[in-house]
Amino acid sequence: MLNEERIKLMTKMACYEADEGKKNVAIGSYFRGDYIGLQVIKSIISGTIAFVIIFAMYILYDFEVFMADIYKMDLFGFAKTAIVDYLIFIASYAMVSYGVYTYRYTKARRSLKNYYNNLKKLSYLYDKEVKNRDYKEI
Amino acid sequence: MTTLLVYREQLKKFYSKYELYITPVMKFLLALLTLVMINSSIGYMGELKRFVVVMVLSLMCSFLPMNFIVFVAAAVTLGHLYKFSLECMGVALVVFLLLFILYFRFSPRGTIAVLLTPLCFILKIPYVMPIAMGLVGTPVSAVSVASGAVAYYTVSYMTNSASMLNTFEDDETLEKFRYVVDGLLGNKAMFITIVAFVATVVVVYFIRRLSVDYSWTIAMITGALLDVLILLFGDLMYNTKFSIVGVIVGSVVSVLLVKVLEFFVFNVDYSRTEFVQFEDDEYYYYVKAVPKNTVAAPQKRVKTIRVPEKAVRQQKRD
Repeated sequence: MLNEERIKLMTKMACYEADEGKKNVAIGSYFRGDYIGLQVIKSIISGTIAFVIIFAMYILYDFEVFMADIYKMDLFGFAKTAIVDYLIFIASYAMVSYGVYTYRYTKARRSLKNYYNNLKKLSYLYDKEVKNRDYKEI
Repeated sequence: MTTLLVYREQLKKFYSKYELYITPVMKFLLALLTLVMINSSIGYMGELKRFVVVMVLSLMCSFLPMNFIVFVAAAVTLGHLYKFSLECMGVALVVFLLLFILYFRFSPRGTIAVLLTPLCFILKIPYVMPIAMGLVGTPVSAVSVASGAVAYYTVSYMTNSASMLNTFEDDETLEKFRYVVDGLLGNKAMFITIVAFVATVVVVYFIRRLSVDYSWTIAMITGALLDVLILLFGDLMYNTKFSIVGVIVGSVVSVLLVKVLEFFVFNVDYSRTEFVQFEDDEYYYYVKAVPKNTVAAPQKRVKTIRVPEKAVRQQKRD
């Protein structure tokens, strides 16, 4: 027998899963720390790539001067400045992404609350149906 | 006004009925428009301008995700720049890569604003974007709009200085590269536009959220005025040669356009027909969920009343 109430609920949930819920369900499968940590690590990696690109452009821009001075300049000091710049850049980028992903995780959790309630309701409807069926069979 | 409301209802009904076909067609048209505009403004590579190539790319975009259009647009732009000058392509590639790595990781949905901003620039109504994004987006959308402006100014600077770039010898790669980078970093018009757009997005966003009557309209007008003010101030301070009439007329047109968009797009819930499938222990369900339309649009029914010929003849005789 088709249970109309259950089908309506399932349709509603399937719509949610197909649309806005898709991302939220994926986020909801992580623990808070795991999700944010993973995203921040990803941000650090992409930030590093971006820094390398910018740094390469900087070197290329003054390539001739750089090559002429390379034996005269304080390479250690240059590397130190570059590393400090890198750390400042990465730290600020990681901080921004930490904020963004914390906000997103909280938002996704809030949106999923209703979805989990519906899941509970669905399982309740199932149980009720099974019980009814068993009762009829007896 | 009632006619307009009815028209909107009909549009909504039409969309929810044929959503399956309308979305790909819209995507196709957007892709086609984008490619035609890129080709007409920086069409250096003949192969990319061919009708077949443009059609195939647009058709591909019509059924692939929205972000694919942005990817195609970037790739076609780079292709044209490659033919134009390798150094320019390098710089543009770096700009696009940085935008992609640093920003689109956060908001893959914002990419469409990045595509639309340069399009609006080419259509001479760039002021639509910050106002529209402030109305429908969040303050973060400011970054999308700014990225779009950067992309536009990068490419337009290169094409505008084509004659200068052609004077460089082939072995002067580094000088050429330096010239392009200097030009981009010293492009005051770009920075002023970015500041104006970011401020507009943020101001429009905060005003439209206020709980006052007509907050959307107030937000639009304030945003447009702020935009004009910042651009004109910037022009006075840095002598960027913005056309004052262009800025004012463009802003007025933009506000009107956004007003139309507000009526037909932003405030309407184009809830679509959904096709979902799921299963339980006993059945597979293939469900088509059709949204209920709450306000019924009156349907016009034309009823022809035919007067019997006999009666007409009778009348004539009398």
